[in-house]
Amino acid sequence: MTGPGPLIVVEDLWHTYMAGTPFEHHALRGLSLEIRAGEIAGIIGQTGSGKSTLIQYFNGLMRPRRGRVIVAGQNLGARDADIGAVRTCVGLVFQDPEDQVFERLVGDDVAYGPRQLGLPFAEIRERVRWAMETVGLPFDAFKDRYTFRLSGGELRKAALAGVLALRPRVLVLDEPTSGLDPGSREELRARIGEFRARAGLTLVLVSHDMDEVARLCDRLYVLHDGAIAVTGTPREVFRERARLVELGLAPPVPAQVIQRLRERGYPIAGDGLTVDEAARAIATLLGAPA
Amino acid sequence: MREPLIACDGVEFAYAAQAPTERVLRGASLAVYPGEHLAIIGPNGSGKSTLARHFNGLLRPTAGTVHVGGMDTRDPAHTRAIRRTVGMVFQHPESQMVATIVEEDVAFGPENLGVPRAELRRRVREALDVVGMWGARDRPPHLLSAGQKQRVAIAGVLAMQPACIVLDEATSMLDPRGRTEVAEVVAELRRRGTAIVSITHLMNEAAAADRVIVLHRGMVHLSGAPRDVFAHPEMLREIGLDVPVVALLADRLRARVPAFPRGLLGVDELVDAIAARAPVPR
Repeated sequence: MTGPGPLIVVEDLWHTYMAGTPFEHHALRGLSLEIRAGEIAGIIGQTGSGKSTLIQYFNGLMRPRRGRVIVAGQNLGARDADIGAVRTCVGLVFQDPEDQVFERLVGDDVAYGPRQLGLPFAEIRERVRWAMETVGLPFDAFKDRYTFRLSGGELRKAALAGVLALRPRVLVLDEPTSGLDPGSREELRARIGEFRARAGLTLVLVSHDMDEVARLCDRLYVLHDGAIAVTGTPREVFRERARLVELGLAPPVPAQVIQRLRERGYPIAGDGLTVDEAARAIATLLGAPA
Repeated sequence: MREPLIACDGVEFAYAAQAPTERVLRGASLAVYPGEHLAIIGPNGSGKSTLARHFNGLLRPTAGTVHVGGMDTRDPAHTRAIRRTVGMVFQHPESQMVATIVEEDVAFGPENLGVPRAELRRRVREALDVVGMWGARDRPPHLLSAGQKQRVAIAGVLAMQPACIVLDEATSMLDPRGRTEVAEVVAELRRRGTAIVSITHLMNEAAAADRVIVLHRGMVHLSGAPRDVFAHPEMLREIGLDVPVVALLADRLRARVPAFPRGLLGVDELVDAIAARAPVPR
């Protein structure tokens, strides 16, 4: 790594499934993006827009045949690329935590990755403790629990801790809050901001929840048909209302309310990106003290 | 008084591996009526999926009773009839797909029931029409989108002509478009008189039901029309649930404008309520 440049650079990336068969399908069509150090980037788009294919390039699970992917300074297209360095840099947490948690005890499961790195015992224990505390599974209370007895929310946290214990610089979370109840969802969202601060992490969230990405992300990439259709800050992206509707995506609910009021001729301020922002603007409209 | 299609009375349940004191269901009593759309919400671990598996006899209560169309689920002689009355659709449609072509997959259930050839073809056609997938009948299911797969799974259940379909978090892995597709199918089924039970974590989805039951620690905690259940965000938050975003926004407005009404769920309703109280724009 040299300098503070972007951690992940994707340039004109193409990916074709089942090439040369009648089912040939281009999942990625000349996609380009950059993930900068320290940011929370959001990737949104319909199922089939290429999101899952794309994130598999981020930690070298796939290698480009057409286009360039550079992660942590390693060119993934080069035969001599140090894939180990890439995997250490980027951690991936998939949608179904059940697929990623396989040990009997929570502590063993979180320790699995660091153990594979061949770290000394004391270091492994320290990392496991840190990762579990960071995700909100107190080490002493949870290390000896059976993984099959965990609730959905706890299982998700265990999967997350297992990846965090590898101390990645970039954490990619695929639909981190789907299947969780609203309370656990809220807790995990609150912790995502904390991760960045505590672990100095760069985060990539793949999400279908527009209210979630509007609140959490610094930058959004909207995927459509294997390429970036819209990009910018959440505020910029959700102003492209017509374009998003075309892509089958709806702006966050508060932004929809603000937009409807504006269409009815009310002089209302702001974008209503979050509930609080919209509530303030509407309360002013209703003559309430700010 | 209508006769319930499914009646749960004091249902208790503990998985065999657990200590008997760790009951997942702890005296749940509720009913599902013919033709209604009922949503069941509750925090992770509240027993929602365990309860759903009692609705067609996949699980039988440790104590208490479940009756489906008047039949006691504890009596194995009724199992087949009960499974025909109540169909289940799960989170991962792949787990219930068996054939290599959409049409054959939908035919699998009724074929096993011994439905005659001509009737079978009619049912498959109708089920695929209802979910809007007749055009894809010749396609292999694994090449469909997640929303399309879930619609095919619903068609497979529908072809057995159940009186009730239980959707156990059937949309939690779908994108917004897939969720809209399934919501449209649910509305259509309801128009046709099929009862729907949706188990969901999505409050917006629950808001579309006729009735909402809140499950907490294996018991019915709250029950009522969506606008009544979601009128009390603080009660739901206490148990780790939330209200739809529109209700949350309305609640924030009420904190600043005390006369602002409760029980709003849709974007249009909320916009109308604001417009009724804001000075007319010039």
